[in-house]
Amino acid sequence: MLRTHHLRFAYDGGASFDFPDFRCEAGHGLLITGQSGKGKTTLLHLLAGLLTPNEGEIWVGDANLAALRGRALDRFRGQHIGLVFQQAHFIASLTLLENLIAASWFATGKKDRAKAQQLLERLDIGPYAHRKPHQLSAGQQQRAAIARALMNNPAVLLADEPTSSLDDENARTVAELLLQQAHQAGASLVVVSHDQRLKALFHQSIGLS
Amino acid sequence: MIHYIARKNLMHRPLNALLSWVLLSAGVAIISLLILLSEQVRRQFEANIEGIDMVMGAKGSPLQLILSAVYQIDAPTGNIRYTEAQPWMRQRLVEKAIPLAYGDSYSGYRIVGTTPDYWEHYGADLAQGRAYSEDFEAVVGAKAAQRLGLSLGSTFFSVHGTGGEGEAHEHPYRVVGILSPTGKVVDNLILCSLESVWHMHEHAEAGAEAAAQEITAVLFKFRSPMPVVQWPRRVAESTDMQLVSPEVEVSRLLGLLGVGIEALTWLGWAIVALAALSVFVALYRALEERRYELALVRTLGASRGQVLWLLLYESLWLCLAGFVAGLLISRVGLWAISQAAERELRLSAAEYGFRWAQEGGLLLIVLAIGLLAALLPAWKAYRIHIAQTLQYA
Repeated sequence: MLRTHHLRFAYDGGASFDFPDFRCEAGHGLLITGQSGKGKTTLLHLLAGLLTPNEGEIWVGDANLAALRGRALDRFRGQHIGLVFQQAHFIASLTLLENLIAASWFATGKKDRAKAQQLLERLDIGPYAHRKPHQLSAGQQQRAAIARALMNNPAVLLADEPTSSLDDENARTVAELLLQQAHQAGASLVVVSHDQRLKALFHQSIGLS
Repeated sequence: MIHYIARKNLMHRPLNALLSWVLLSAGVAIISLLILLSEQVRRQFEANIEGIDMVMGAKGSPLQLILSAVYQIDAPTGNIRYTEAQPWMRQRLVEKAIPLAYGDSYSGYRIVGTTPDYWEHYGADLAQGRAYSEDFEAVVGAKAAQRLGLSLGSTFFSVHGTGGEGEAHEHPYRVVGILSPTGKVVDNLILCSLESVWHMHEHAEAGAEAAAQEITAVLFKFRSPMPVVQWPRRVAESTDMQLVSPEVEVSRLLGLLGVGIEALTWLGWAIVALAALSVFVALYRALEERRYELALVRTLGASRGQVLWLLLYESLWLCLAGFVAGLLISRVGLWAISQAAERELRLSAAEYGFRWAQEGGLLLIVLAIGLLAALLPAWKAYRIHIAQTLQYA
């Protein structure tokens, strides 16, 4: 379960944002939409612990993410938050499988090879396990990024414009995969996007203005 | 895992790392080869003068006398009369005086007329056969026997001079003894009595009385240090001979070599410094390319420290690979040089083991340089602002 309270963030000498409170139950999906410059990505980075809010609370289960700093924040991020970006990025020198294993190692110090293999199968990219990321298509890369985000059974799955660079068919598949995997893993899914195609798929959505 | 990713990153764009690796290997190879060479030259030179206090020979270059009489690698300074040397050899303070007479060779190996004291001095035993007792009997050093294929009872014709070509003498030598190996100069010699050398030349220069009773040098070992100080002057003033301390000449020679070795060592360090610069540039450029990747690793839960070490390890692994390659190259170089040295100078016995004191120090310095070269890129990686980097990727 993910919940925010009075969240506020200001860039140094720049724009400041006040975000509406919201909550997202485990296994459910929440779509956050809004024009460019309304703070969609900023909100996502706050939720991921990549930025620290000036005010407010972010509750993941019974931990307040906004109060964590440094190594504790790094650990929390690795273990409880899965991130998917508009463009999938990987450690270019490692294979897909190794990228997933690295995700578990950085978060927990353990190399969960079985889980990595299982996730690649589940997302239909098992045959590419030993390929390098750049050898895959954009759609396949995005699937792999979702698989990686799920490696550590995160409580929260965050996605930043996960479908914007994909064609209609791939966009639909990726969005459905995100919802389905979040449901299956019991994670709260938050997607920020201006992609109008997604609205039909999400029951719950907020607009930033 | 960080080590693994660091190595994978190196292999991922091998061309980026290639220049650094090649430079580092070259620098390490030069330095390490010089360490090996100077150590072995020193040992070779010092082992062969052990127990020889002074060398007597014809006037000329003292260094040349030592090189020819002790190491058998230069032409003699000339001949001296045995009768003139004998009074000095019989002095009370002389513990051992070994006369040497050169002239002939067989297939490039020198034939030296001397007494059995000579090989005993170098710690060689008769592995087979006996010492020579008559004219034209020869005792052969271990390596010479092996290379020339000589065994007990073999006969061979010597050639005038040491060049390997020249007029062959008519009277053959017969092998009566073969020496045990010592790793010293005696291994590469063919030994016979002084009389054999003299009589061979009487045959060759029939009618001429000149060659008789001449020797080339005498190796002295004294009972007291007194003659070392006093004799050289007396010999120089009263005779046509000189008395030279091999230790002095060898340390002068090694001093000259030392200057050259030091200059080359600096060259080696300069190349290592270039390698460090190249590591720095490669990592710095890679950092610009991989900024997003490093931010991503941070989102996976990696700490700042882990990202820092990712870059440091990359440099350290590269430096280690360069060091190992350099070490191997230096061994191959040593092997090639020792082959040549054995062919040309008859010096041998190369040792290939790791020199913990010097090469261990070299390793530490190389790793420290690698760490230094990676420090700035690693620090920048440490400081990466995740959210900004991801946003503007």
